[in-house]
Amino acid sequence: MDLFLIILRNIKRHWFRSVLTVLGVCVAILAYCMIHTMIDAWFAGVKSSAKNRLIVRNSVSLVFYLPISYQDKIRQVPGVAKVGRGNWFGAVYRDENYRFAQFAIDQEYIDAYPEMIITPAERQAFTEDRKGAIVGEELANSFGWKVGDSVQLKGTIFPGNWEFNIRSVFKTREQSGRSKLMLFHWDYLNERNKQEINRNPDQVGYYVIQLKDEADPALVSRAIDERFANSYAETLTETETAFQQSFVSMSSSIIFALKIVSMVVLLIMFLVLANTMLMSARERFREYAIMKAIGFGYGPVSILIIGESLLIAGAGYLLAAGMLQLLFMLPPKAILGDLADFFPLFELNPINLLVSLLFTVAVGIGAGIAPALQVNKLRAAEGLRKLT
Amino acid sequence: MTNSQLARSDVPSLIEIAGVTKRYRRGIEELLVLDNLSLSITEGEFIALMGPSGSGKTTLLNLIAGIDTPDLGSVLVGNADLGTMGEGELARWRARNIGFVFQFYNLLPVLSAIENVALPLSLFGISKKERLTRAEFALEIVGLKDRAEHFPSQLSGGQEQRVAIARAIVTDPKIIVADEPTGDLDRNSAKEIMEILTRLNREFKKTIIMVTHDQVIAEYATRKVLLDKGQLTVG
Repeated sequence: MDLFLIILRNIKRHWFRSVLTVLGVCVAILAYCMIHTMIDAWFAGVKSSAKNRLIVRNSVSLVFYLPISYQDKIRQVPGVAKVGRGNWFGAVYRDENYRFAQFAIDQEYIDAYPEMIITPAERQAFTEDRKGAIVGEELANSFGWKVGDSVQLKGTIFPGNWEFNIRSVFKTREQSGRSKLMLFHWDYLNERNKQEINRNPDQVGYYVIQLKDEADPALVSRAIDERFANSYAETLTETETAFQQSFVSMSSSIIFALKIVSMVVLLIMFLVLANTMLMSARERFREYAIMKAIGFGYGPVSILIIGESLLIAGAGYLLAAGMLQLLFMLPPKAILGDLADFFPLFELNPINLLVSLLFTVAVGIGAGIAPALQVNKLRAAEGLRKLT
Repeated sequence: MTNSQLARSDVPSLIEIAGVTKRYRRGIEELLVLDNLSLSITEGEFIALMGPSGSGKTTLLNLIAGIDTPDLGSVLVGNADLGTMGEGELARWRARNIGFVFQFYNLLPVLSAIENVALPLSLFGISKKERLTRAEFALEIVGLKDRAEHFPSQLSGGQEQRVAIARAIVTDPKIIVADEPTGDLDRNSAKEIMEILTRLNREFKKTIIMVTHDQVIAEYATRKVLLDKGQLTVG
């Protein structure tokens, strides 16, 4: 059967309209995939978090500190393997436009993150240098930093110029936001803070716990929080995943809005395609009526209409998928500009391509069904009467 | 003379229409298009259906061709009772038994002449090579083999109608129904078309039922059937 030939030639008949429709579908798929890539990037921290790590913070809010004395007490809780401490530093490099995440940490903190690949020699160099810092590979690449470089940051929470010596540029075992971090000695921050600034000295922003293999995260969390219950600084202990999730949930309205927009984009794609197919079917009504008269049943006529709709939608999808593949060969900075710093993991997820393919097929079939029903519900005799 | 008396009884009939009534609804108005009409057509006849506009010619043609069904009465074609068949069954029956020729040719503009002619054969699961061979033969019968690769927009009206006739005969149906086949053609082209139809009737033994307003064209038929207000009349 040469139905495919007829479908192809029908598409070519109004080539400009077909091209515009293909572009419409393409833009919709591009928009859908880009929006969902942004959403995925938003959740990247959650995805790269480990279930065997706990975060202990002040139960009131993350902006309140915990005493340094908690570290040893937490270490005594059954199931705890390592306890590291971390403080958000919040400095800028050169000026306000060069922001990135820095944390003041201790040695155990590094032990709690085995996914950071640091050579023993670099680790040694970092340990021995009070102003030493280790930086993720992506961060180092973005500023052209290398081991041995000295960099100066301008403190915002802890005012002043802060000198650091790069002692390691670390890779991560899997792509994660940690590749854009800078870590330095907690003691360096605390000592200078005590001497010059006196802003919450000997206080810790949060503790990172690596659990023993057999430990139950829920039981350990409860044990820690019970230990500090009714103290002046009560704790909230949760898995790293839940901790990251709480950051994302602050933006849940934005994510919900983005999801709605992506659905609206698909709806527009459906309307554009359905409109094209209704116009095409109306123009070819005479031909379909003749085909029915000479013996073509519902099936072949429906295949002609739905097949054309699917082919147009499929062409739009392929164009969009090709453009996305090319686009994501560029570094995130080229796509997002300065926003790239906020989305450490910005990559094309094959799941989004697959989901948009399923939507394309559904929209292709859906947009063809209405005109196919319209043509098919008319009996051949009525169709021929309309022709005359 | 009654309707039933108009039926020929000396030869077994191929088409037997008995007491057919057909009404159409136009808004709130109901139109009686065929009124208790009976007619017999024997194999090999060339019938010219004539009558004023609205007399029911095309409706009768549609009933014979199986693209419409009667409200009352029966239409028997060969052994098939068309009134009892469903839409799908009728479509398959039409593909095997009826060749259509329309006033405005109604070729698919995206297909070449030979592709248009071969189109009905695609319903029979025949190989592409075989389809094209048969389509070429049909085009040869209507004298258009040399225009096989032309698209409808590259053909004259008369040539388009000849392609339409080739499409009608390519499946070798017993019956050809033609609704005003020369209505859109000049006199010379009309003459060519009628000569082809006559040849199909005489040489290939096709039973042809043709609707026409034109007395000259009707002269090519072996029998004229006149309709007025949904009933047969004596010409």
